[in-house]
Order: sequence, then C-alpha cells, then structure tokens
Amino acid sequence: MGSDAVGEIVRHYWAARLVKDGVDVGVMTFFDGPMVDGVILDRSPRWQALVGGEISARAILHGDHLPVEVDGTFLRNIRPTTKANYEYLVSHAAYSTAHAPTNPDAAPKDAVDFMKFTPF
Amino acid sequence: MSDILPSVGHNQGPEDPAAALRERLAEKHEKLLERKDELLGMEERLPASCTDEDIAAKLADAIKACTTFTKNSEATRTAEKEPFLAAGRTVDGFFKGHSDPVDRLKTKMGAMLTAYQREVADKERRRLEAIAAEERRVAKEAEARAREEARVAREAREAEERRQEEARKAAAALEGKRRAEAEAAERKRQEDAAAAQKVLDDAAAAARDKARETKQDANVAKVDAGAKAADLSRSRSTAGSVASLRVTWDFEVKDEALVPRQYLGVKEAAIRVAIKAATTPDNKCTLKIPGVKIFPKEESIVR
Repeated sequence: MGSDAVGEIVRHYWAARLVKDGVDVGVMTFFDGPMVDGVILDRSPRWQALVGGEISARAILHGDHLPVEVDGTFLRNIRPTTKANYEYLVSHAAYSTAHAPTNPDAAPKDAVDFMKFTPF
Repeated sequence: MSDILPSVGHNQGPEDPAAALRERLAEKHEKLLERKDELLGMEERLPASCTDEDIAAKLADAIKACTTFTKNSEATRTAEKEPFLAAGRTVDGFFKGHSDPVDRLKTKMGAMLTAYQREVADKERRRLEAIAAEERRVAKEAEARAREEARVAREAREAEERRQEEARKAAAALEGKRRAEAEAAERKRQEDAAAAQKVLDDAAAAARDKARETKQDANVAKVDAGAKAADLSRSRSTAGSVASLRVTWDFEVKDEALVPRQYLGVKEAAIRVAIKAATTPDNKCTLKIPGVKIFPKEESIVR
C-alpha cells in the first residue's frame, strides 16, 4: 500500500493539501529521470513529485520518496494513500476543472469555502 | 417638465417599519438567501440512504456547508441586530434613569406608609376584639338571666299545678254535693291558669330572644375582629389615592432535607458535569447515580 513498482521504478502515492483547509490533491513520488510534459527524459534519475494533475514533475529538494520540500510548491498534511485513491483524486480534480468549476477540487490552491460549496 | 406635481407626502417611507426592515434585509443579504436556496436544493438530490464512503464524505461536506451557513447567518443576524439592541438599551437607560430615583422614593414612602397602616390595622383589630369580648360577656350574662327566669317560671307553673291538683282532690270530696258549682269554678280556674301560663311563656320567650340578639351582636363583633388587614387599614386621599395593607405569602427554605419531594427538582446540569468528570480519556463512564440511567449516545460530528 502506498507504493508500487513499474519496471524497476518504485512509485509512492500521497494525499496532501496545497493550502490550509484546502482539498486533498494526489501526489506521486518516484525516482527516475525528469518528467517534462508527461515524458521521462533520458537524464540522471532523481526524486520527483507529480502534484495533482500536473504533467511535469517537481524536484524534491528535501527528503527522498517523502516529499518534505518540493520545488515551487508547499505540501501540507501529507498522508500516504493508495494508488486507487491517488487516481481518484487526480481524475476527480480533472473532471471538476473541466466540468464542475464550483467544486472545491477544481481550485486546490484555495481553501474550501463552505458558503459556496454544494456537495449534492 | 411634467405638469403633474407629486402629492404631499409622496416621498414618505412605508407605513409599516417592520415591512421596510424586512425589505432592506432581504436586499442587503440577497446572497445569504441565495445560498439558503442552494443548500435546500440539495434535499431533492440526496440519495435515499448512505451506502458508501463517497456518499458519507459528501454528506459530511454537506453538513459542514449547512453548519457554515448557520454560523454565517447567525453572525450576520447578530451584527444586524446590534444597532437595534444598542438603541433599545439607550431607550431603557434613558427611562430607567428617570424612573429609578422615583421608584426608590416610592419604596421609601411605601415603607413609611406600611409601618403606619400596620399600626392602624393592629389598633383597630385590638379595639374590635375588645368590643367582641365585651359583647360576648353581655350575651353570656343575658343567657344566664334568661335561664334563671325560665327556671322561676317553670317552678311557678309547677307550684300552680300542685295547687290545682290539691284543689281538684278537695273538690272531688265534695263532688256529689257541689258538682255543678265545682265545674263552673274549674272552668274559671283553668282559664286563669292558661292566662298565667301565657304570661310566663311570653316572658321566657322575650328573655330568649334578647339573649339570641345579644349573641348575634357578639358574633358580628367577632367577624369584625378577624377582618382583612386591607379593610382595617384602608385610607383614601382627597386626590383619590387609596392605600391599604396587602398581605401576600412568601417563603424561605430553612431546611432542604425536610422539604417534600414534590417541591424538589433534578439538577440536570450537575448530572452532566458529573458525567463529564467521570468520563475517562478512553471515553468510558462508570458513574452510577440512583434513579438516573447513564448511557452512551452516538451521533455524527462534522468538524
């Protein structure tokens, strides 16, 4: 749970928040060549984190598989999760961004405003 | 420019200030009302029951949204009401500031008047009690006198009857000789005795009536002596103010242990505090209170 191996690459899955009282976003960490626009470049491997629905991974500046400090963003309330939940978080955020912009996970960088959010 | 001039008072506000306030609030807090409609709109989209984790999470979010709305609405209400409360406090303070000194003076004068009227009522009660005692004494004497007169009348009647009996016996001895004469004398004697008896009966009845009348007077005086304090102390000023002693009943608890159960109440707040104090960090409670069932209650909490 919390990690799998694709080929020889081990991937770790996390749920984290980008702001206080924000929604959970899926985070995947892996040790591989840099991922740019969804493509793994043929460079030396390093620990990287793919945050939410991003297609370019961010370098992990502090920590290894655990993204203590990630380049260009601040992850808070980091908890290990399953691959299924990670995929659910990412795909649900993508759906909300495309089709339901009032859902909180369409704006993960904003705290959830329960005066605007209607779950049903 | 229009020839039609607006009538006098056309620019006055609505007559009902409450309606105007409702209108203003609805206009000012339009978004809050829209949010209320949004939240209530969830009801028709709710699933029949909660069957999985996804629905549970949504329900928790929905509950939190409702809680947030309620808090927001309450905060808005408090803020909106505050000027009115402040105005109300100002009005209260203004009038209380004027009426309180007057009330204090009224209380002071009331205490003086109460002391005086209590004294008047006591004096009047003592006077009526003295009158009642005197009338009771007179009635008792009259009753004794009537009894004595009745006794004298009864003895006189009995003496008369004895005399008549003796006379009858003497007459019987001479019956043959003077029957006709005796019969006439007998009739006359009976008439005289009846007349004498009537006089005696009338005297006794008169004595009884007088005694009864005296007793009634004594009873009236007795009722007066037990009259209400208000009646005994009532006074009326020339300006029409009526002052009287009012008696109401008050109490203070001297010994709670002696008070019957029907006048006691259960202190629910104290029980809640005791339960809270007896609950362990792992959420167990073994507190026992006779007559009280202490049980765990489960409910969802959304934070």
